[in-house]
Amino acid sequence: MSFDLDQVIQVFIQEARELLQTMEAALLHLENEPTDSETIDEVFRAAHTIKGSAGLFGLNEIVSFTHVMEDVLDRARSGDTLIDKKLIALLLESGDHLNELVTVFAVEKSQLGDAAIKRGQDLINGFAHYRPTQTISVLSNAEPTAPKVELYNEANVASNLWHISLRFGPEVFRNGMEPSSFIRFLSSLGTIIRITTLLDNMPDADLMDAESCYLGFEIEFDSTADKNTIADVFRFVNEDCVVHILPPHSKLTEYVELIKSLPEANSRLGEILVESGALTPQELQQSLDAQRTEAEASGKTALLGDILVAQGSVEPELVKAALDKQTTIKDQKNKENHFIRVQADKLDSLINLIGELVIAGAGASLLARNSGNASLHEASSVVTDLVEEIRDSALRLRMVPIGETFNRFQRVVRDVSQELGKEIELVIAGADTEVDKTVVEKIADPLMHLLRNSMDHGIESPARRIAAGKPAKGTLKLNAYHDSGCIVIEISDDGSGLNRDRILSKAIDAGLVSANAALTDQEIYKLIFEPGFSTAETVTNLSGRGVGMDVV
Amino acid sequence: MNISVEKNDLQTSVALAGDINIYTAAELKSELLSCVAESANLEIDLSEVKEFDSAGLQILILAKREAKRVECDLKMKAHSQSVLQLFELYDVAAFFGDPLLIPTDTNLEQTSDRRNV
Repeated sequence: MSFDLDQVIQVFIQEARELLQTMEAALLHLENEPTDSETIDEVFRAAHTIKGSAGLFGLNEIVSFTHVMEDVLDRARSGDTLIDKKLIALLLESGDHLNELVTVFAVEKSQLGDAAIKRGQDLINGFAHYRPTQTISVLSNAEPTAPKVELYNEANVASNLWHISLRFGPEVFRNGMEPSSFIRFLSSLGTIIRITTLLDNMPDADLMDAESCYLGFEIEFDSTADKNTIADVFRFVNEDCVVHILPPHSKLTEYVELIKSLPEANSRLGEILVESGALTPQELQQSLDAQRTEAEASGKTALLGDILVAQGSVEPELVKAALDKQTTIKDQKNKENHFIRVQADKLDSLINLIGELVIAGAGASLLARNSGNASLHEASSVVTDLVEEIRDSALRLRMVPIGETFNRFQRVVRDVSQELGKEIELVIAGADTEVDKTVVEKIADPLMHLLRNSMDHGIESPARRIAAGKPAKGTLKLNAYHDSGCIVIEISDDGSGLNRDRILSKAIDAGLVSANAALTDQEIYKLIFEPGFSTAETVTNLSGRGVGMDVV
Repeated sequence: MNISVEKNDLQTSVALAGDINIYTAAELKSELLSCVAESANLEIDLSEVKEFDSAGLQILILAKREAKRVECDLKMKAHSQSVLQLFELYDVAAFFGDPLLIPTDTNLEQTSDRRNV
């Protein structure tokens, strides 16, 4: 069992990391287009999915933190909160914090350090500005059975029970379903505190069809199950039944929507809700008042369209969950078409075996050639061809597009440029150039140093750039391409370039070259790659304009 | 399902036996409604009801509602186990207002055990 769990948690870790990367990329995109609703959705979905799967593993710290993020994002999504630079910065930091949370709880299975706890709290406090509710409940050592964090505010009803409204459709009996079996099943998830059976929709005796179902129920339900589990009870009858599920302490407005959306008269439903303890009389009064003002404002009572909208909005969480599920399934499908996750060591052993196969094949073909047997020779040369093809494609298996690594630098560029007070844009070209996975991992760090160098020393401050007649925004370019069997990764910037004399004098000072050596420009520029040629000594002018630092 | 109707001067007695469910609901509806229409005092004996489902319950509720409308005094008695269980699940006993014989717990458990088997 623990073995299984370990494997599953590995998947979670990887998934969370990928989602955080997606989130980061989306946030960076948002910085340029703060109103792009699709990207906001993407960020939201990422946070939501992380929260959901962290909940599965009982990683409450992650759940509670993500919940706060999700809350803010949800408001951003609905347009209640505007996305500004500050919020994006906050969200980016939160992404980093989450990454650490994942590392600490899922990978190391240890506890957070004080610094991280403080940072988390700071971030949550930062978010508080964007959230409507002031009460923030942070689960620290909550029992694992409560993965759901609900935020309470004064507009919520007092009842601590679930409220479930069911209206079975006329076809239920004819479709071979029996409402009582659903309710019996429901009681296996908790306790039905109170049930009100409604037959208000049953027409007069003459019109009543004995085989149609007119039943409706209002149920007060005590359960620790989550909303999806409860909704699942009615999954089989979903098409034939209008189901509304309100969690404990739902917002009063949700009850208003519920009352509005159900076919019975408002006052009748209100009475039922009060009688069954879902609402206090004051709450009912309040909600009916709210409804009346609303109706007066719009000049008419709720129309069918409104009812439908209301029905949609009564269960935003469920609808959202369903939508999210659909999109993630769709996304996953797209991805699945392209990728299969294979363990790296399996791939390594395959490649090793193929190496052996190439050697053995070469030996065999040599023997075949020496044997003088023409048909054997022919056969072995076919085998050799095939082996070569296998080798090539096996090596290609390890190739990944470099774009992912490049995209990671967007964040670096953004952070560093803000730190330096410069405006820098990263332009990426050749993102789909394929590079061996191990190489990608190894060059990521050197590339970052080069980028930092470029930004720090190459690109000038906006004022100086304008003075030099350049646009205030500096451009940093990352390019990758294949060139005669090599992969060339090129970093260039439109900064001030290398100062030849300065490099030379520094190099002479450092004893790298003798004072009277005649060096070409190229040789001088190469000096900057010398070990010990510290960037600290050459604080300015370190990277080249048009020179292009090639790293292979 | 078997419906036997006995009429005397004072009241009409109806005894329902067998399954009262979606398959017999239509028949039961017309039978009960005509009884409600014809008499001012109606008593329904449910002691021999075997299967009882929501469709059957709907008919009983309809009959009760109709009886109230035409001021017929409709009573039900001797509810069988299956009727009681559904009444309890749906909490509709108060609607009918008839006295129910509450079975002892052991009886209930036995029946539910049998159900599970």
